[in-house]
Amino acid sequence: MTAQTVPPVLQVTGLTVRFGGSTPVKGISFDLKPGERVGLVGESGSGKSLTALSIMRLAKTAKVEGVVALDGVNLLDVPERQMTKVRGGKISMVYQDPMSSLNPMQTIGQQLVEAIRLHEKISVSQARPRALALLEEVGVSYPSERLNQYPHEFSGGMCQRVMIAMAMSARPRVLIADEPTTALDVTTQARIIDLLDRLANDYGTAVILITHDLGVAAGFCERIHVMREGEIVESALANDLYANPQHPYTKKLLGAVVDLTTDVTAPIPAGREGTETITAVRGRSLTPAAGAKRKTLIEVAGISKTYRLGDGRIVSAVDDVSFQITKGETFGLVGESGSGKSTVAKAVLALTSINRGSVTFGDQDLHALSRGELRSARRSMQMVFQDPYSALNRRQTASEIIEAPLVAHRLGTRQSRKEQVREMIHLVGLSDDFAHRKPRTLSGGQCQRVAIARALVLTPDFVVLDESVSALDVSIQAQILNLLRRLQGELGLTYLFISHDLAVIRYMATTVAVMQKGRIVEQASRDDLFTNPQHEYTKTLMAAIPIPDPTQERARRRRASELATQFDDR
Amino acid sequence: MAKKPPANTSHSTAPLGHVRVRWAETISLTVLGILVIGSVLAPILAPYDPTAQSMNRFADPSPEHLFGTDELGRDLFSRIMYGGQLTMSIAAGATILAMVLGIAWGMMAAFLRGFADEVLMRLADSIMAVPQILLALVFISALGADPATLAFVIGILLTPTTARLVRSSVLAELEEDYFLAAIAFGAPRYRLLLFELLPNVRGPLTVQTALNAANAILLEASLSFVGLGIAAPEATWGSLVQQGYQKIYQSVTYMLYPALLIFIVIWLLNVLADQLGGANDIQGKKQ
Repeated sequence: MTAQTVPPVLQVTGLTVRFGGSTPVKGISFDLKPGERVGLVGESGSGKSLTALSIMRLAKTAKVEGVVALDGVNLLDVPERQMTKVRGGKISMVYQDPMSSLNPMQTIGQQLVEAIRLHEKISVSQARPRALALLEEVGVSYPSERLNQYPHEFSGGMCQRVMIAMAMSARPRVLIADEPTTALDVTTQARIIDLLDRLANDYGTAVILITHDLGVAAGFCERIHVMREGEIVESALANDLYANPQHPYTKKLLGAVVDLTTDVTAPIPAGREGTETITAVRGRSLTPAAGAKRKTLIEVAGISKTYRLGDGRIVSAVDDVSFQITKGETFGLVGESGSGKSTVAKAVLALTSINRGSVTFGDQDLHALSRGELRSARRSMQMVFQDPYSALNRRQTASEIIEAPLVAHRLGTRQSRKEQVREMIHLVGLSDDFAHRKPRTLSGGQCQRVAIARALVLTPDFVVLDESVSALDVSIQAQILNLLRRLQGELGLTYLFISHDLAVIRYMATTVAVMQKGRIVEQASRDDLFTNPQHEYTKTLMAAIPIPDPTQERARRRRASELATQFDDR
Repeated sequence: MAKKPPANTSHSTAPLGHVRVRWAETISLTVLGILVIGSVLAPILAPYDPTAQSMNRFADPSPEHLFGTDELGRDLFSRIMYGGQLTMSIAAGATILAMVLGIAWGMMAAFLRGFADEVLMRLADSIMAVPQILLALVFISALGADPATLAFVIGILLTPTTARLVRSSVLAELEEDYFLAAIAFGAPRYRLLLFELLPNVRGPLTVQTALNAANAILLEASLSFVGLGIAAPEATWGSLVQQGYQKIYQSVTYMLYPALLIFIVIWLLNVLADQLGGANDIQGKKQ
């Protein structure tokens, strides 16, 4: 038999999912051959996760039509009792958030044994050695001790390994991995994808990888389906798709990706649309004078912050961090989760206390000010957060949210404030009809624009952006990054830009500091850092950025996976 | 990747223009409304003067006397209407007091944290540890049993549970970034509390208000029943039950009607609280 005549293990034909009046998945079809890796790529709301849930018949309240044939049997016709045998047996799934997918009340061993015994009639004592072997196979160190531990004693990456072990325990025909690395650090991401790659090979399992990340898909998938609004807009072999995208949406997605080759001097091409409607805001552009450019705006000197844990242990979140930010520049702070970068952000704005050191803004030592003085000082420094939904008061409308800082400082009259809010709404590229909408009715990108408007309404000198684009889709991310750069130029803003994503940092920042475990391990200008990284950790981070190009990406991932092992503290 | 509230995903919302009528909520609000209006407008609507005596004692319900008459020949229907006025005023007073004190208490505890939180919450615990009736007994014997005192004492008794609820709701809100954002743009403290936090705990507070009102009525009835309620000739539903209980061999209906009304009001308030709680879940930020 040639490769073409191998019957597909999974054949999805005309899959349609309806919820009430809407149809989030509109008749999609694709095949999966034994051992093949297929990527479903799309932005949030494209219906990719719902497709996966419908294949597993887990979209309970939805009406699912079409054919999902597993080895020729339509799963949509199978009685529910038999379906429980299929799930976890023939098709299994790995989810985005490994922490919440594991039962916190049971040990890892108990959960693995249960997963094994669901599909094999063996005793607990027989299943235990199998669980041990599985744990070893997915690369968990000290597996025999680890079996008796609880999920909270595991890191996110280790939890995901356990989830993969459970999913693979019955040697399924098909594995659906739904954003398996999205909740993990970049250096962990490469290793998890590597693990999936190896196991799928060893077990001959076909994999459907669902991801928003074109880079991750590039290295893993043989064939990629690009989804948009419930439809597959383009299907192609990975190599063809990246080299020669056909559909405008695919081109837009690929154009929106910020990587280490993005031109830092120009706007991101795909992010341009949507920002063109903005009208110039009268009298607000204050281009900084050339002479004033070299002035230091913020000086952070030797700040440290420790927390006392419940058991009396003291952990250091930030340890002797110092840097200066020049007026009008963007200072980038990069690090993985737990590196202390968010604590630095809060400490710089005096939103949290510090144990040692000082933060000088202009000529004021922020941590030495009285509450009243600090409140006035806050007029000239602002913050934009990561999760736009959490950062906006859900009981207020967009215009109330943007107006709040003006009211807090008793600025202007009701009429003048209205006018200013309107200006801000236009400045961030929204239209007037957004003024009376609440965050719930806005998309993530629109919410983030409102949050940026709120941060800028007081015409601050300095804005801290803490992972402000990390929760957004790539095309929205490109728009927001372009917006931030445009506003910086127009209003002469100084940014402290914090991210876990080196590529985004490279695009935004002129000076970059790399944080690891509460310390700055390397600090350099953009050009120096990216052409000639000094610290091992910086190199690891750089190698961890997925590249949306299949050949390069595969080579990169192998390198990254090897490099990351040296920072193994688990 | 962003934590989107469920209401924002287009497929989880009902089709536009299709609003489901919440029957339980509508019915309980209507019935409660009728009872409140009946009580408030008692001077206009009541068929008899509630204190007017007659020789027609312990009459059975009839078109003339809907609920019958009592030992002095007074019309029970009118007595209950006037009694409702007093019962509801006491319950309303107690509820308002409990909400105001509870919100201030709980917010202070959540906002100040640390030692102040510890002191405020242990104080709440100590009040909650003593049986409510026992505490009320002490207060009322000391202060007397006029309507204002009753409302005050019941209000105080309901405060600690309210404070605890407010504290835990506010603590959850403090974790949200919008609070930090408000500090970051320099909002003064009163704005943080009243304009940022309070609107977001409105949901659980509404539920608690309904429950507090139900508890206030129950507490007042219990106090009246053990003889610590309003002194005759004025009466609340609770004291009517107590008087009827003593004459239970002469007339069953005497005690039955006020007791039934207490039951209905408390029940409907609980139904309402349930419904409001459910509605909050739907409108809430996460699941």
